[in-house]
Amino acid sequence: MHSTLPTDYWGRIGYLLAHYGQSFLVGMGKTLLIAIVGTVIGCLIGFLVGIVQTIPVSKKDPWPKRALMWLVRLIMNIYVEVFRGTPMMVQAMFIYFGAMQYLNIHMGTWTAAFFIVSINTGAYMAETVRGGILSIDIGQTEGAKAIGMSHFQTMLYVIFPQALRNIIPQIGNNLIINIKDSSVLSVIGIVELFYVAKQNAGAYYWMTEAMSIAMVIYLFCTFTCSRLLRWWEKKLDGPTSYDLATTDTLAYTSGMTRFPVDPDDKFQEHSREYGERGDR
Amino acid sequence: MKRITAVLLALCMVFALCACGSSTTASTASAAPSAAASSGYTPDANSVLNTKVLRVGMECAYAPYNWTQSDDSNGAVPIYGSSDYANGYDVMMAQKICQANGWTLEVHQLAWDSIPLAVQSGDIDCGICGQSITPERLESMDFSAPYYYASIVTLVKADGKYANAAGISDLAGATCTSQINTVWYDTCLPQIKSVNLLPAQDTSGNMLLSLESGACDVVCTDQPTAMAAVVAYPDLKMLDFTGTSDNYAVDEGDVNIGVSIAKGNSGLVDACNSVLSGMTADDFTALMKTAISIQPLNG
Repeated sequence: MHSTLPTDYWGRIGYLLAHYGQSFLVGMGKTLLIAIVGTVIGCLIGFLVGIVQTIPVSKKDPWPKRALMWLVRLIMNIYVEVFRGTPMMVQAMFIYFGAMQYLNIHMGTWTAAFFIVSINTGAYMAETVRGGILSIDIGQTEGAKAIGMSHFQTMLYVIFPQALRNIIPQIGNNLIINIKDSSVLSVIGIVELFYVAKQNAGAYYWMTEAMSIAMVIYLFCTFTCSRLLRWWEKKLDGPTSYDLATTDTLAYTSGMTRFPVDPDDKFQEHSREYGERGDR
Repeated sequence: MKRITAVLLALCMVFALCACGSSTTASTASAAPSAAASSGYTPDANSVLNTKVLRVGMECAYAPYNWTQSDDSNGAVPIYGSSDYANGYDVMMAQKICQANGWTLEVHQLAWDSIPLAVQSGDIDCGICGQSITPERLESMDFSAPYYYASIVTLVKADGKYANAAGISDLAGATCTSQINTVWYDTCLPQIKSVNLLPAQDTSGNMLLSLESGACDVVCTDQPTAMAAVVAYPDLKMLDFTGTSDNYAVDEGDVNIGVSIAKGNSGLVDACNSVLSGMTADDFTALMKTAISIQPLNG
């Protein structure tokens, strides 16, 4: 057998890119699609579970409400512990093939992939959201209650927007984890980026070269996503210098308050630098 | 008092939940065997026996049995749900089975480990992926007659200390590995005296890389894989102890490669066997030669 294939590292990488570049791109697309859809749905599940888990229950509440809340929390705790505590690859095998073999449910590979990544992310996000909500000062809730807001209103208009800002880094973490961990879905027949690399390695037995390409693409995806999320975070923070319009002229007779009061004072509470020093 | 009521209520609920859980599992468990016992295997709506579309599972990452290519050259078949094409010995064999029965071939790409699960659950009709017919696999799946006889060989570094081994006794004390869930790893390698057995690798590519990188001294695999390997890594050497008394002792079934089919699906087994019974070992060798000559490695 006389082979005309390249024998050096860069030659082989060039050959793979020329012949399978498109496959790698399609694989990357599938990886990103699974990661993004999974993270978005997962966040929604997480928000829901996290909010329900923080509904206050006091001993004065009627017992049906307390019993219901106890049951709902029990189910949610089981959900979080089971999906956070078992590997996604095992869940994929169990859910996809198990449902088919014993329940005769044929979900498509894509439905299964989105489902598995979503409920996994949801389990992690539930804890993150719970932590995010608990991290908001109790004074915010008390203030909202004082002006007559219901629990739902307090959550939606006061606590949640502040909690969201605090948990964005964790959403970014989850997205990056999902980009990488979607590679385990090859066990149910999703040919994402890692499996594309594996199949090329299997056709040529060029393991190192194929994995090098996959690594660069993964790094490109995760780095882009982390930068985009950082940008969104900055945007939510708003400008460091802003005008607070005070329409309530009884409280603010000046009518307009400007922050920061002294632009050179880096240690006042509204200064960006003050916050970034982490010593607030 | 209130607390006691609460605890009692909670217990009631737990018991109710448990009861629900156990009753449903019991009903499904009892339903499954009775259906199997009365009518044997019943093909579902997606089965090839109803749709005339044969869904075949393979890795598409295991030259020369099956590999992925970006075009349809040399009679490659589109991979289901992908823009790539599959080709190789397994694909050619699947084509022969489909042509003889008037079926359409649909290649499903799956990880090696999940192919048996996919066959059992009815996700695909059969696995044509270089699986040897072992007694353990026969417990959970049916197999066609052999569609290839894969003699077992040994791969070593051409300049390594085992390069001139004449039998498995010369490999004593070697550090070895092979692919997971294969007869090579489970049956052959443990026969080497005082072997240092590393964990099994999940693909054939990984096991070759392990040898190439020096992580192990000896890899046990079948002849077609080894022939592809020595092309990819010219510094590897294939040792074939076949015919000597100092060879791996394996059952005949262990070197017979078959089509794996869901337990009881005799319709599909018969359809495969009607094609295979018309072929000889020489036909298999000739077809494998063709596959090796068109594999991507020969670019």
